[in-house]
Amino acid sequence: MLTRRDFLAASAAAAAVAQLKAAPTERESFAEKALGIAKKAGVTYADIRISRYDNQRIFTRERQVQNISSDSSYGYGVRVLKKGAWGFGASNDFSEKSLAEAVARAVEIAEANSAIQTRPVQLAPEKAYKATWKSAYEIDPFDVALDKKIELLLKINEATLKTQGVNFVRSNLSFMREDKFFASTEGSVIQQDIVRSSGGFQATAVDRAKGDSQSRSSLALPVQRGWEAIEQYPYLEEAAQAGEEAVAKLKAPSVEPGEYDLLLHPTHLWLTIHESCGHPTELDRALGYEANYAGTSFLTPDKLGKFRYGSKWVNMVADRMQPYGLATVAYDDDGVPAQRWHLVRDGIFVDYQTTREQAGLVAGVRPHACAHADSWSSVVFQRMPNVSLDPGDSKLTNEELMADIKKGILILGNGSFSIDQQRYNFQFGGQTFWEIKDGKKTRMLRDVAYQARTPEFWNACDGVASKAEYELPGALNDGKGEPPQSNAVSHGCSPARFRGINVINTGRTA
Amino acid sequence: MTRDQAESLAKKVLQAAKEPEVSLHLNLRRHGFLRFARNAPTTSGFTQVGEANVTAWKGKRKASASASVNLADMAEAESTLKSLVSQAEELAAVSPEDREYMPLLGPQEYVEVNGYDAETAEMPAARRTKAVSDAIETAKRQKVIAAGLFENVAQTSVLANSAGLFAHYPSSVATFSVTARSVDEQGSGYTAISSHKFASLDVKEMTAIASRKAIESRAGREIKPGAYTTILEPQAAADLISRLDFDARLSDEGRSVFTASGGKTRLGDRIFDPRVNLYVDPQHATIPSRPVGPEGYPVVKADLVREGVLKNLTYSRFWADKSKKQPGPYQTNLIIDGESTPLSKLIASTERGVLVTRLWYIRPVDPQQALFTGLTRDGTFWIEDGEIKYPIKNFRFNESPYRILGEVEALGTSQPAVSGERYGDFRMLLPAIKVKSFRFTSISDAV
Repeated sequence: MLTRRDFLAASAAAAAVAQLKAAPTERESFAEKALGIAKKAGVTYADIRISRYDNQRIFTRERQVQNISSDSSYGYGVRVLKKGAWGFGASNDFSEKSLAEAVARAVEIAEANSAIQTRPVQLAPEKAYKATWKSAYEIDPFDVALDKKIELLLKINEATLKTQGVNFVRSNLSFMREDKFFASTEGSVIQQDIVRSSGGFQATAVDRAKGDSQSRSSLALPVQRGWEAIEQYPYLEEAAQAGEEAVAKLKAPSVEPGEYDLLLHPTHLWLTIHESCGHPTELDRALGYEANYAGTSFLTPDKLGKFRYGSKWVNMVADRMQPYGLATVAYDDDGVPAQRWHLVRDGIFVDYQTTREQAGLVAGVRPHACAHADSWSSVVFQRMPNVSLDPGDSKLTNEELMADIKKGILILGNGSFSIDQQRYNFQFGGQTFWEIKDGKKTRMLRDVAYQARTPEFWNACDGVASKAEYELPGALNDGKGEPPQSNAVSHGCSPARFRGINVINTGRTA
Repeated sequence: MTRDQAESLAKKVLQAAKEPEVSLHLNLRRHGFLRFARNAPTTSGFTQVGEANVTAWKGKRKASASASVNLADMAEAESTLKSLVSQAEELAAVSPEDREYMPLLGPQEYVEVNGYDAETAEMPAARRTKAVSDAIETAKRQKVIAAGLFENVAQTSVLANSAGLFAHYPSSVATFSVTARSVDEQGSGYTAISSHKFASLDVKEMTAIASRKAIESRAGREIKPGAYTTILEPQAAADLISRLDFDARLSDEGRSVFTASGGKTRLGDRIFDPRVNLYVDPQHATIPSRPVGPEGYPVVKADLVREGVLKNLTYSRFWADKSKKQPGPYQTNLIIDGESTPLSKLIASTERGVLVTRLWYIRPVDPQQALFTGLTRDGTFWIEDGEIKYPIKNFRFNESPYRILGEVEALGTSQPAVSGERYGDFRMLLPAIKVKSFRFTSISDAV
């Protein structure tokens, strides 16, 4: 029964491990030195993040463990503002010499870039905070015995392989801890600890005679919780069902392309929200800061407060305080307190995701605590908060939504997903597809994907189920920025209905 | 981290291990970058990151431990690495036996690759500022708005194990990419280039090309979605063809496009047009790449496809052993031979068709047919009677790189390319590719 803490304690190299467990007072003292050096160099603002990221991952396939890995990354990044330009230096060498070099590099970069800066960077005023915060969890996943985790995964695999015709299964568990210390020249000193857990699997059935294969992945998605989230999810029941569904997909009829009403389950709809509302409401995209990579946005500032993004059912709420949300924090990486606000209210586009730096760029836009860096060695920039479809006071049920569909498809889980660089045209697949005929779920379909244009899709929404059916799925790997960074984010929703959506057939005859 | 320093460090750490089989991977990365948008710098920095990964086997039980490590201080690094070895050993002790266990590889011979350029590796901040300033000035002269990234990386990668294997590979890379957008937001153009030598990057020329595309692609007309003769510029070809997965195990297991019906693979079959040669060459002068593959197996020049025939699939050491094949070939770069036909001649020989300059948000739809969906981006044009007639709106596609390489009409001249969606040091050399038909399924309003 070895746990990660056991082997850290047992490790002979005490010096290295001690460094990984640097006490808060040591961090404050290190931060003071860094900020002092920066101030002496004449910066107008500086901050430092001293962060440790721990991950444990277990991968299995069929009846074997493929790998168990434990990784830990610890270092610091110093950000300075001088002559209106940003500079950043990061290192995992905690010596005084290296710290001085990192700050000097940051200052050198700011000075060099200030020569071509057209508009000096300005930060919206913010108070100084001294705070500590921990995300909500009951059981620290790093304290749970490794053999318990392996046992669960191998049981999941066995449960899928019980179904005749399932040839392959992969499963994994991942646990993440983010330990972030932030201090700025404005006087903020903030310590935050975040734990996230994730478990999933994929069963595959192969028809060698036909040269066909179909997979069914778990509908479980990562959360900002501890081991209790893994324990509470019905993995074994779902694994047995997934095995049967992977085999059934091989024989399921291929969808007839055309217009269908769609009933989208939260395990599917969260990703559609992410791509078609989460990203276009990012102010950096709308202003062209992401033009070279992630893209821009069709929700340009002239549409703010006027544009009908969706039907009256569509209320999109950004929330960095939502319990268990993957992007939930107490303070962002600018040191701004977490907030909740509407991006879309009653179908109208009303606000953006923003940071301190962006507040002055568009009239009336306030900083909304969306600054984030995925590592001590990454620069801070605007990242997505939890963005969710608020069911409000809807009294509808999933069954009632289905009952009013004559020709439709129920989609669960995420499959292929793709959207253009301004977030208009998208195509989504799923894990399982069920034909709805005259208000009733009938048979499984395959080769389903739907294509739509974002505003038309959300204006076709004519029903959202009540809070009783609300779920909070999400992802750990939302990519954006150059050099690219990853962000963990959740998107809550209840099942929702969309009328007359174009469904294509992705099968061999497509 | 010199070869001698790395060798001495690895020796000390491996000698101190309790278990007879331990493998150590070190990576020291020094990274400078300057991002710009709206014709001005945005974020910029310099980072120095040392990372170590240790895998230990206790009998056939395996586990890995990774951590950031201060490779500037050899004494501190030794201490951290010994701690990691202990962690991996203790984790391995409680792991189940690895059913795919393979003994460690002993010493290997690697081909000599010169992928390091001191000027690129040690670039000061002012040099990056100058490059970006040149790009912005070029864009301003063309009356477009530029966004992009200039970065330089110096990296030393070390692999060592207790069976005596040792590999040390220093490399450098400078990458520049730029998107130019017209002031009215109706046109967009993109170029990207990457080289181990900064001096071979012509930032002004690349920005000028992106700017021209932005201006020429303004106000695209709507063309009905469908299957059209299509020319993929090297950037677009790189975006799509880099998605082909040559994994042998997936093919043997019946779940790859390289699986033939009846449970066999397509090895030895003519799968592509006879003009298609697709191969790996770590010693290529223009795109040198790492000569060290997974577990330290050497990467050498090797064909995947020769004259349209599937010559090789990629075998892991375990799968090669089970299948009685050689491991590899591992892809650390990818080359498709071009011909001597310039892009202008590919266009001139096209009666009606589409010119695609970049593809975006490419995601798998069906692995069995290597079917992907994605979109055109940053300049798509209609060709008629051998000329570019006008810009067109972007399309969504549902298409397979496997299928289109079987429908090649002509190949252009090869040039270096990096996929616009993938980062790292994976570089390609490939030509513009003209295919008989490419399936566009809907229109995108995005510019």
